[in-house]
Amino acid sequence: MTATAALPLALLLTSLVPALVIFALPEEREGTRTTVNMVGAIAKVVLSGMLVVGVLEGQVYEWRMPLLPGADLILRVDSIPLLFVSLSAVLWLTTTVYAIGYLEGDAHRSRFFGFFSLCVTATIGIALAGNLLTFLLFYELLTVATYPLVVHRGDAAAIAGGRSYLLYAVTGGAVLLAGIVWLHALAGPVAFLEPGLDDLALGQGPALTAIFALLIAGLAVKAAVVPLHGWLPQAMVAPAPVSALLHAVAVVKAGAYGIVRITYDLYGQALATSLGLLTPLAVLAAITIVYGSLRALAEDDLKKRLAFSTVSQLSYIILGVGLASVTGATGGLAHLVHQGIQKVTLFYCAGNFAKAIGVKRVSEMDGVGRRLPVTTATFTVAALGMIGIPPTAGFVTKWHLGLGSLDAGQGWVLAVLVASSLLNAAYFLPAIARAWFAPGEAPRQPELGAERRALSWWLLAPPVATAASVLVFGLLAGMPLSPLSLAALIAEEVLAR
Amino acid sequence: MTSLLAVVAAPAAGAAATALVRGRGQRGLGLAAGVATAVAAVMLAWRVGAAGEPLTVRGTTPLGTDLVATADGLAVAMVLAASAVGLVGALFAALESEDRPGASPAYWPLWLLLWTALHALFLAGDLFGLYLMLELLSITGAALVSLKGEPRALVASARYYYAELVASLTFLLGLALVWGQAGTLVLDALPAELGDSGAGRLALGVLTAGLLLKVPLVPLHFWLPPAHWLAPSAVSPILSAVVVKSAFTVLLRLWFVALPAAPTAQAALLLGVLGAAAVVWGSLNALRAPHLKLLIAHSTVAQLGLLFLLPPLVLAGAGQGWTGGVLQAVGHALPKAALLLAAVVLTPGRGSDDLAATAGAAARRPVAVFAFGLAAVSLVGLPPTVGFVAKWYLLLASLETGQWWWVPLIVVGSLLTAAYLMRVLSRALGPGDPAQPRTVGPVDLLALVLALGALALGLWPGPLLELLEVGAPLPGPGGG
Amino acid sequence: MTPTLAWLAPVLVPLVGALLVRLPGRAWPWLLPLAPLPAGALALAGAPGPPPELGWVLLDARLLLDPVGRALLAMTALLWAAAGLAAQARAVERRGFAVLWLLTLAGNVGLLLAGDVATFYTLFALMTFAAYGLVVDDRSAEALRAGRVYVVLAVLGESALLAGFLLAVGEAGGALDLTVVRGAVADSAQRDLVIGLLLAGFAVKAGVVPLHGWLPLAHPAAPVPASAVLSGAMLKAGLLGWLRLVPLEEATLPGWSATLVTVGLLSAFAGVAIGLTQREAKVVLAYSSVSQMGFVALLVGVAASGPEASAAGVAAAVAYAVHHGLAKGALFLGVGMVGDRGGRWRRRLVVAGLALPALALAGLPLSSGALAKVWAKDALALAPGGWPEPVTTALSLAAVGTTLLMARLAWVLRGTPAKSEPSAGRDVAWAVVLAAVAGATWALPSVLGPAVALPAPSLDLLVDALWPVALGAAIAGLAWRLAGRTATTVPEVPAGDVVVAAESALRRLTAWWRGRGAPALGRLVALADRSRRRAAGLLAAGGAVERVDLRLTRWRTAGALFGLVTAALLATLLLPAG
Repeated sequence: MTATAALPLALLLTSLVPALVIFALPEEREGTRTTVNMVGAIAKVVLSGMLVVGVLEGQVYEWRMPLLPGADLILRVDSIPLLFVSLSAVLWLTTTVYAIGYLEGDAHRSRFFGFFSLCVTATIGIALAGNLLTFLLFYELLTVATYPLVVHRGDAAAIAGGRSYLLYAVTGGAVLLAGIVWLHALAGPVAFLEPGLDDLALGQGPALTAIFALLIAGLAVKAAVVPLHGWLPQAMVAPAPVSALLHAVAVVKAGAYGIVRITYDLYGQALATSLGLLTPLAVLAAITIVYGSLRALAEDDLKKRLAFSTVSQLSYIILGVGLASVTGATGGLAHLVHQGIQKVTLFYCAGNFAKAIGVKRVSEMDGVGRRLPVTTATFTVAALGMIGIPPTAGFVTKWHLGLGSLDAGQGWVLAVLVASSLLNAAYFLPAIARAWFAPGEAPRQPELGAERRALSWWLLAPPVATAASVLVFGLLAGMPLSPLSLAALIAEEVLAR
Repeated sequence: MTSLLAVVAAPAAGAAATALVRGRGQRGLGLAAGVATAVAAVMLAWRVGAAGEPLTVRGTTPLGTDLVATADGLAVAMVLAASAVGLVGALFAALESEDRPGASPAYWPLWLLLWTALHALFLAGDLFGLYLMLELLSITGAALVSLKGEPRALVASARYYYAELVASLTFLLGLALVWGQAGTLVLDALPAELGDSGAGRLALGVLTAGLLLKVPLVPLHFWLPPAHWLAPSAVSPILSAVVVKSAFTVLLRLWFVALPAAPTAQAALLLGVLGAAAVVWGSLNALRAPHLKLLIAHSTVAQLGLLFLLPPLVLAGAGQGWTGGVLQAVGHALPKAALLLAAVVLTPGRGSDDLAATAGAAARRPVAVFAFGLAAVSLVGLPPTVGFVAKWYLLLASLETGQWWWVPLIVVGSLLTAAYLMRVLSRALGPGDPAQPRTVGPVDLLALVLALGALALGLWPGPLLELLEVGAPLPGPGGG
Repeated sequence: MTPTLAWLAPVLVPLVGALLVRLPGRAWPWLLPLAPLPAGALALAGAPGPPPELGWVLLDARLLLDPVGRALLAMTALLWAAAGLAAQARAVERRGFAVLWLLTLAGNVGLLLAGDVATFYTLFALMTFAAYGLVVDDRSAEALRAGRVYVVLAVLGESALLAGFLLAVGEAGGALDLTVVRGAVADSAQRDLVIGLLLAGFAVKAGVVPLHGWLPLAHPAAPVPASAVLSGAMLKAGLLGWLRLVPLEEATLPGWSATLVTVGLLSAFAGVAIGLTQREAKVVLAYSSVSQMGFVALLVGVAASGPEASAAGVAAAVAYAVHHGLAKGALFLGVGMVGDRGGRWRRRLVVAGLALPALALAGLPLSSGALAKVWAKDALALAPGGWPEPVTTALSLAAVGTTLLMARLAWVLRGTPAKSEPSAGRDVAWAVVLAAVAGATWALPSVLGPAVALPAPSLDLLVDALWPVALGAAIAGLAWRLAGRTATTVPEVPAGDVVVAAESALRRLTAWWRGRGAPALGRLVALADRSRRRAAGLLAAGGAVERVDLRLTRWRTAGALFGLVTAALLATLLLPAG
């Protein structure tokens, strides 16, 4: 097997093998488990780095295995997967570190970390999927692998949350399957990046539109697009690391990524536009953005508020896809990464607040900044990013989406962006102000020592790292290999097709 | 030739031997026969797969009726499924601890006889052989159900046997009609004799009616849930996984081999509609079932319904319909058996298999719950499991033949399946009695092996798909 | 040091300083007065060669140092250095204050150097949000309220700016360079929308009516040095925003010119009127800032009136801003020292010191104020149309008002109890600023160029400058005597006037939301959930299903069904074939 074929497979195995090993390991073999986990995660980061370099040099990595007659299992790395792959690899590493610290002394850890790695395997598979069948395979695997994580606590709330998650996800998957089968029956096996549909469009326009609707509907469930978002806030019962992974990389991002992939690499910008599919998508995203923020405003529970903010933020990506302009696409693709690092930071922080000082609601955050200065500082950075205040990564996104909407002649999007920034400010700034400035029983001066005693490095390093990247990706957005630069390259290439 | 005979001879010999021996020796003999049978089945599959065409043996019985055995893709695939589940069942019976039908001297002979009947039925190429084997199946099956001698089980098995009896008589009537008209009972000779005569249709109708009751297909399923629920743990796997499909394979032979001209689109549609009804009805019952094995039994009713989408699809000329349908029949066997084995350990304590008893099983029996989950994934039809492949081809066939209305049915079917299997999993992952220790028994591993089999068949369906091409009425996706 | 470093030091030094505050030892408080020095050096020395290429930073960041920037930068740096000296005590008490102080500083000096929209917006935001911490430093209820008002208005302003920036840059085809953007805005189809958004967005910062509400709340709440830089330096960021993005030179905007002039006059007089009713020195000063920034806005309006007046208008506005910045800074610092213990001589010295910037604001001849007002009137004279004359008179009347306001300040301050300890640091800081008030403005012509030239001394200039002050002083004296005799009290307008109204409206709105809106949304959500659950329940429910299934097991039913199925089969098989 050549290197170009081996690399994607290796990328998959770096988390699949650890998953199987961990399942096999008995509960008490903690050291071994941690080692396996970390080795796999680090290896994945290294491999994804190699991929990024290779693909930018014009290399295309592909590995296939016959699955069904006429429909192979294809793992391929071309332009768009780059962002998602590297994001998943890096955030898996940080989140694994965080989870190891967070679950210290919990029960069923081998189960947890096994499915955790499986969940990432599925995500990577989704990222690398070279055709719809492969995509579906990993998409469903993700559904299955995430369920045990959601219900990990095993109490009634967890079970209920897990049930609603699974029913939503399986239904979405079924709808997606229907769309895929229809397309398969219509056009035969179509791989991504293979112009197969354009000639169909002449006779089968309506059918293609219907299929697009089915595919998007199926993906929108995971992407938590209103009104299919109901499961997300309920899934908040999961432990913080799971929520972090769910909201930043794995589940919701998989849905959004699928929408990107189908629009750009299956239908193609041109065809999608000519079928008039993009504007409805943008409108849907806009509605979700505003609605999610409104709901977040009403929530006092920190994790719930973050959940609704995810609903809103995620649709920035879809909005970017819906804007038929290079700048807009750049913004959307960049947000694939930006939303990830920002949201993951926020969930690390939410976890730390709850674990160190039992703070779970925004109304309890008075003076938190002086008790957990480091955590609160990272929280502040990420939240400012969500609002889109420069020089954070979120600002870069918002900026390009705004310009993109003007390029696409859709000025109304500007109003949506401004409204969403205002709402984001309305539900994040009060929390920040409370944390730092509200007089509480908290000490007058920040106490780094106390925080270090309350939280191990496993719990502090991840948010610091991700928050730093939020700043760097904003401050040095023009730097080569920054998410923005990559997104810009990809958008150029994709919309030129 | 030899391997074809071996798959029948091995279990038959075993049955005879175990009938004579008692005690530990009996168990050893039984296991040996089981292993031999499985080996023979694999060899047969390999032979047929290599030859790429059906393997047929013709002879005449002492009674003068001619005897035909055909090992085509369908037959071999079903034989493989039967051997897999049969062997695992035998192992389970050999080491099962809770209630030990293995201890009852009658178990091994009956078990191997049932197994023999299954293999013979799948291979049989003439109506008379089919009839005999159906009879043998219902007798041994009913006997095994009542093996524990528990009153409720006795009632259930009686009900099971009477239903089978009625079905067999109906089938016999149809057989008589054919004999009277065609003068032969050899399946591949019938087309020439009967063509698309009205008599042929009449016979097909009567035969099919009997088979529907045997399968059973809603609304004739009344006997199945109690029988499968109350059957001993060692028996219910093969009942739910393989036996129920025996009548279905017979139906396929009649419709598409013996009397290919007779079936009408309307009749096929009728079967499809009843199948759809079964999918919904069985699932709704499974959603309500208070007991674990009863839930699984109802799910069997639902899964059987899915098989009956095959006639309308194949009759409309969709080869993928044949692939999907048969694959559903074969592929359903492994996960279903896995569910039933896992069920044994998920509900500890004798007798009661109340759903509530599964609470917290994930902490007690992680491997069993994992196996159960994996099997569930296959039954729901998620990739990469064999259940998905079957569903995939059924969906494709529906769209190709323009019978799009089966698509929502299949989708809803998988959703309902997910819904009722969730009832078990959410309890198993929920809070339970922390006192009980975390154990991994051999039964858990057997269940896991079966579930992994379903996964493997989904990841590498190629060989099986090729096998199903052999002697199929229509070229499938592989042959193209 | 290398040019690049010289360009970046003004921003980097405070930023790095903010990190160093955590350092152990006694040295770190000196970061506050020293961090602004690189900026000051750059302003005095002028651009050290071409600005550095910062392609990696933000969206290809650019720097720029033009006369306008230099003038404001010099004033800002000086003010921050002095205030920093005075703020050291506070910083030692709470290091967080020092961190936010340095961050605000970085933003404030940085935005004066920004050469592209993204950089400008970034540093503008940094200053705005870091300054929140200075406003609420006290943590008292009033402080937190002031902070709330400040941040709400700021966020609204920033949103207007974001929209304005995006539209402007969109017009410029994605180019971010400020000059390019200005040009694009000048001849864009939706010029008025863009300009409207930008003017409004920066007006919040500049504190002109009706967006001034946060000033009178924030100034009294913040510590004295913070108020000094807030009022003296940060308000000017609004002005710079106008100058950087509104195409004053590139286009003729009669409509906006009229708007700005009106708003300016409104602020000038409203500030005085409401300020006169105040009882707290820092509130009085805040309203004086509102009124003074009105002058500045008016001058920007003049610059917008047409090409002939634009250059002069801009220069005059900047000059006035510099003058006001220094004077107001001096006043705030001085007000902080009135309460110092010490002999009566020290007390007199402080009063005398306060008199200098106060009279300068009023425009006493030979003061920086007089100079700024002369330049203002020169610019007005160049403006087309008939309106300049009355406006000029109005300016003089406003000067009367300013005099009265300063008198009010004196009245409010009299008899302040001496309780705070004097500190050498503050004394030095104050002395420096006072010196600047006296001298700095005279140096402006050398920076801002011909538009502002030192006028030849003449009698009518003297009279022109003198009579408003004299009139004001006279009225003030009269009022003083009256107040001495009869106990007449002025009804106090609540500080933050419009905001107070807005707040009560908002309270009513939130009450409505709690009472009506939220429950309505809640019902809607609950409805959705219920329908979801009902759908799920439908599956789980259905005891009917069980009952029917039980009935199917009866032999009679089963038999009937079997017959039925058989019949159906035969029918479907035989009938179609006929």
